[in-house]
Amino acid sequence: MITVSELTARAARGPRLTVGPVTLTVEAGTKTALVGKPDAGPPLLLAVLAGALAPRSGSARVGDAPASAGPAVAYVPYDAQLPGFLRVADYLDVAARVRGEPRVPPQERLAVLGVAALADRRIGRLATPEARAVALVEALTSARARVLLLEEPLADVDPRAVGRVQGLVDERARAGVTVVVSTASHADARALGDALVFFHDGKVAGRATRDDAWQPPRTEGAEGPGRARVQLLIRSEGARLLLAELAADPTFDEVWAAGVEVVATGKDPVAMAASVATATRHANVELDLLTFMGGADGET
Amino acid sequence: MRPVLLPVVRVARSRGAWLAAAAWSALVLAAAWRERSHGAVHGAAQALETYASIGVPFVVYALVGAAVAPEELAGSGRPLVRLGASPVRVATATVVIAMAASAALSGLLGGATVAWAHGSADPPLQDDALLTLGVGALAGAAYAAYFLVGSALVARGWGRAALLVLDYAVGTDDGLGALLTPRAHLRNLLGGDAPFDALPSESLVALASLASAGAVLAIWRASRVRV
Repeated sequence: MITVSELTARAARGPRLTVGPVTLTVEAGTKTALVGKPDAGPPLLLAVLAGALAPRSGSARVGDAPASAGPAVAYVPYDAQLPGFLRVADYLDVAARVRGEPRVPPQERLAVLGVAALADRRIGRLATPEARAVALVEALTSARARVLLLEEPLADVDPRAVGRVQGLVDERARAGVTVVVSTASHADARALGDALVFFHDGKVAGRATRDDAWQPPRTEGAEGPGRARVQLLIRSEGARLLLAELAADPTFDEVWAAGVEVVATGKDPVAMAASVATATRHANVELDLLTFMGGADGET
Repeated sequence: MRPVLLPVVRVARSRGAWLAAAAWSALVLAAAWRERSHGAVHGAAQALETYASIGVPFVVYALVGAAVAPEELAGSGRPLVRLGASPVRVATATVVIAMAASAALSGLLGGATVAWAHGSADPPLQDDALLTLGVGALAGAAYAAYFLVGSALVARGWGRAALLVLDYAVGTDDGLGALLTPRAHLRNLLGGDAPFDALPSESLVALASLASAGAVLAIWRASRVRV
């Protein structure tokens, strides 16, 4: 189980990105997608869970221990930084030795993602999508890894591999491995995660599940629907897509969906309408109904 | 492949570093050839000035650069540490390999320089060559540790570059500050001016201390950096 408690962190290099405070629990053997733009917090949280970044406050624990790098944690950041001077096959051999797992022929491991042809190539001469595929192979086929931390595992990945990642992630989760994915793509999040956690400005903006019976996402600090002044009802065949868009928007206090309907609550109807327009355009869906209801007196 | 061999492979496959080391070595050997062709009676002593002032620092600078590429000392071990390897072990392997390669090449270059430029008034060839080989190896290790400290403290090569400049700026005089640079002690051991009137034996201890203290500091610092 992964437990994050009141955690804040700041990027060590580059733009001064921050995340938190975040409180989050990920059960063992589940698949969770942290959804948000790269500057919204998910990649930073993933780095903290991997031990690549120290929390400024709060705590992050993987199992019983503070989050840190280790043979049981496989972390694949967007820039995997593999040793460019090694051949792919040598790297997989070295990785297996470091993790302390039985040696499996590298071609077999690479074939799992359809990239066996890369075995004899020097890593430094691989294209970025090929190198990312190699990093994913190492993580997804590691016998020792019990936690997979993957940043954008479906983006910029060798086309031979990208179609197989989802199936392999599902397989590892069924085997009890905990999977946490960071992505800016709602489609990728829905493809890879059973639980979705939406981030905005470094904070959790909402939560949802992949299933049709979406749970009402809870904005951190919000007390519930009764606190909202305005309620918005949307009816659309693309309700689920709209939900994913709206759940990441801080304009709304809460967003939830059932069937073809999405209900959102917030305080500023003008901003809410603008957000719905943007979400509709992004999700490329049509609205059948859009209704505002006043908060206390129920005026429509 | 054993993980501990990774720094060896990294250095061995760094073509750019070997080209740079070869170029600086060629410059030193060219100086030795010039002394030899002019029949200088103190040919070895004069060629060793080029060896100490240019050859050793730049050859070692290139080799250390290869050992810590592409992201300096802590970053070079990141791929292994991320897989669960001990940061201390990874940093130690890199430091040891960089120092060993630097010592070997510096020593051999020193011995070759003396052998080639040896003049009639220089000390006996065999003794002189062996002594220079040993002093050169120690200086190579000390320079490697010196640059590795810079690499561990500052990213993107600026740390190494800053210490190289400092070595030239401070190590060429005979003041107190020169005691902290490999250059001053190497010059003293090869028959040049002594820093702060240090005896050759004191410079020998100083070089050994620079090598060991620098290695420990670099390993300590690199092992504290996150993956």
